[in-house]
Amino acid sequence: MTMQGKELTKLVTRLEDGEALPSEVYAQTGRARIVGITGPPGVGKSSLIDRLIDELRKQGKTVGVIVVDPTSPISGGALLGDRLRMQRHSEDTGVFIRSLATRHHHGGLTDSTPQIVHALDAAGFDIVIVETVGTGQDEVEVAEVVDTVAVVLMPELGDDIQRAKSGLMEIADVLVMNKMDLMNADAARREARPPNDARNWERPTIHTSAKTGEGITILCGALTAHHAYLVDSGELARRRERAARAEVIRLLQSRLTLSILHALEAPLAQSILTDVAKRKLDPHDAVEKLSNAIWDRNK
Amino acid sequence: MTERREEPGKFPFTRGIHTTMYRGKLWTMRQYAGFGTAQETNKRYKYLLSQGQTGLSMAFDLPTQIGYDSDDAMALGEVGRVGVAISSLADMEQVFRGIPLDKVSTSMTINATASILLALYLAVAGKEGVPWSKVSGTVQNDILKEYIARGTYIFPPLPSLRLIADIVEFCAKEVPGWNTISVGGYHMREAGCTAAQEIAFTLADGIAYVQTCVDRGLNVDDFAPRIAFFFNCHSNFLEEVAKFRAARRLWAHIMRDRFGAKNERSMMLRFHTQTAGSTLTAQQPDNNVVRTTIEALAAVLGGTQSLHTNSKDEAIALPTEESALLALRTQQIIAHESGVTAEPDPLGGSYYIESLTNQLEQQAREYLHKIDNMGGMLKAIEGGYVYKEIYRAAYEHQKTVERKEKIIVGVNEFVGDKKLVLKTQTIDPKLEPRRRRELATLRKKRNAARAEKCLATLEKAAKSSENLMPIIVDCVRSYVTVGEICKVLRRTFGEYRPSHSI
Amino acid sequence: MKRPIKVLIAKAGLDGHERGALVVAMGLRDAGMEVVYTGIRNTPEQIVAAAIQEDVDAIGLSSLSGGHMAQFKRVLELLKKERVKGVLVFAGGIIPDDDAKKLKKLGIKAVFGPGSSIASIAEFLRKYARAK
Repeated sequence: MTMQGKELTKLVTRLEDGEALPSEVYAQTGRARIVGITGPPGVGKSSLIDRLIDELRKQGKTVGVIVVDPTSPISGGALLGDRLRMQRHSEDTGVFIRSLATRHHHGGLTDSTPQIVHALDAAGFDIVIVETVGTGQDEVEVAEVVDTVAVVLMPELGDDIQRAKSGLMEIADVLVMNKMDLMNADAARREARPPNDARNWERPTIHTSAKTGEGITILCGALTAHHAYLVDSGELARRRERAARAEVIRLLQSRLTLSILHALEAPLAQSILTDVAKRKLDPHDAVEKLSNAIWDRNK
Repeated sequence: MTERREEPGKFPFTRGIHTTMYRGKLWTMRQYAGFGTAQETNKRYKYLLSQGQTGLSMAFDLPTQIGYDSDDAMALGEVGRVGVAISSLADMEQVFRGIPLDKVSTSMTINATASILLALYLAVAGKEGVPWSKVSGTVQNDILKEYIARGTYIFPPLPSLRLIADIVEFCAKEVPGWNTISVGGYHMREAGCTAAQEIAFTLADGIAYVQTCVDRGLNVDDFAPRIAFFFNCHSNFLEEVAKFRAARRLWAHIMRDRFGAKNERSMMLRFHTQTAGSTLTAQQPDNNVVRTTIEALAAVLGGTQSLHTNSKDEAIALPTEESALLALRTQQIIAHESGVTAEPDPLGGSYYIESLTNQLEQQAREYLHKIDNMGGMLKAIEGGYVYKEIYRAAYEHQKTVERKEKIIVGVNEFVGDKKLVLKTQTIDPKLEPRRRRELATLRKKRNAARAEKCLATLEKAAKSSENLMPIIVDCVRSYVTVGEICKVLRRTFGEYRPSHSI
Repeated sequence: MKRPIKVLIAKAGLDGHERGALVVAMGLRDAGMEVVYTGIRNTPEQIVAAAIQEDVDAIGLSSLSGGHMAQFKRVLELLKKERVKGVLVFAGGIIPDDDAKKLKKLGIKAVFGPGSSIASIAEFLRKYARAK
């Protein structure tokens, strides 16, 4: 482990606040397996991760976990309650768990999640698990940050929800049906068939019960198998390239947005906006007028 | 609104489960007590019995409730604090020394370890020469509410329900005078739920227990008469009276119509009430005497079978002897001086009370329906529904208090300048070391082989579907400790892991 | 954007009454803070480990069973042992005045007894917890 608890935790805080990842830290990344666990609220993601940590630790692996919960749009605060289900691992020095609030970023991730994943990767954890808010269509962003996406559902969620989650189904490398202990098992197994997929990886459906521990070993195996597939097929390199590209684009967009907002503060910009509101100027013409100012600023 | 012609002592018992209610016999004055050592508890019980209390109520410390002996690392700082520490038969004998178990009835607030504490009580009775057929009392034995509102669970739900059914089955044969489950709404109300939710969640728990026993093959009329309830009595006087009436009416229908009970005693909702601890304030504590009086009066007008009135310092610490006595006197004054015992359900017929009763009944029915649609209370709890409802209600309440939409005298209005410092009961810091020594001695002195054998038998039986009560009785008679029994059961059943969220 | 104050709310020991802790947690969230709630039955070791990993500005300890002296003392000892700096520790629940005085001497900055408002706790945190 290259970074101890407090050092790592302070770095994560700085990244959370928007600081850039030090380049010497970034140079250490690329070794960890990054797993995303996502799905609608209430399916048991945190309890599942609690069990996965058990299993991984038995295999001698070290685990870093990032748990993301939504920031309240009204108050700006957040209730980070997922850690509760993993608390028993708190004292294990081979496990690091950190709760993050989305802080108004959409897509289930925080702005700084990729950097924080890098930090845990660089710190030397074998596996980094990212648990995200299950908001539905926005889940696609998770796929850009992790190597393997496990989508967690539970039986009897209802057709409507399933359709809405089709974005989830597209990114799922492993499908997990949790809470098997509660539901009618046969009905669930019928529901579990994933939509048709053109990739070579045969997406497995794993039936689990975080409550009883059923299926956890199999799930672990599936995650390991997927990683092996990624490496063997060269897909890992391609995903990481897409991830790097996505990360850079995001950072650029972020910087540009800040730039734009700053530019709009100018009195000239303000009057242009007022004209648009008063229907004196149409939005496209406004953009023409403004973009000259903005691009000039960035030269 | 249809005119109901309801009568006390007649189905659906809205107006009371007996025809004459307190005219015939007063409610049991049962003050919750127990703290520190078995000796102190024994002394306090003898005192309260001499002062006119008619039944004993036992409070246990958290380690005992959660299956840890006083010398366990998990017990650090908790031994003897919220109740008496019981780790073995030696402790239980000490508590009841000189108290005739055929003459008193004892109510034990114990849940996850109810089977063990009941076994201990029965073992003491045996030693006193009292036959089990003459023993009477209650174990709370209500695990479902522990998962959501009280927290003294150990094992997951299914093995816990098995233990509960073991007790019900065992007592139906061996200890017929024992109330085997006290289904509680008190704690959920304290946790923040509303009056309608208190009715609904309590009855839903009751339904789950009855169903578990019926699924085991027990005949509902063989055990239902021994299921009792435990409600809160909160500050809204009229609503609380109506709440008890609505609960009785609903339960009667549930037992007759849903479970097909034939014996009227299966349909009677018998309950113990405790005045609401959460309404007590640390500011201006004398106000609490007034609050408790109003709440106690509501419980009596609501037809409770047994009542605990809180002491005025209960918001701060365990009650002192003086304040505990005043709490008991409160009940005695209501019973003997106020005249409200002259008629059963004296507020019945009042337009407002009847209308409130109907309203609460309807609201509770809606919750019960919702819970049924989720597949029953166990699923509702595991799905997090009940937890969310309770704590969101708690938060809403807090907000109304902070916005001064709800006034609490002495706290957010009519605030005093002086802050009263009450004399509080303190626990001897030497208690824990002493308990460690006692347990070490116990383990040395007992027949080690016999203890080992009992535990081995227990482990084997726990893995099967055998009724564990007789084996647990054997264990405690061999001076096996509470913690040792639970260690075996934890190994076999596993431990419950909470998974709620707000 | 200014970093919100981050608070850990935890219950130590065996006490299972969550109402106060949960209500405070929800209230502080609505007051714009990030609250990590770790439920019941935490050991002092687990609380301190969580506080370090989460890099919190403050720890709120809740106790209603009377075990506060031993447990809270242990939390403070561990924070010292792990050389955790800049974390505000406050307490709530049923804590007699004498014990509250002793706890304050040990390093607990404030004790919020029954009847305390969320607003007062939020104000206290805004004043004393330095959001980094």
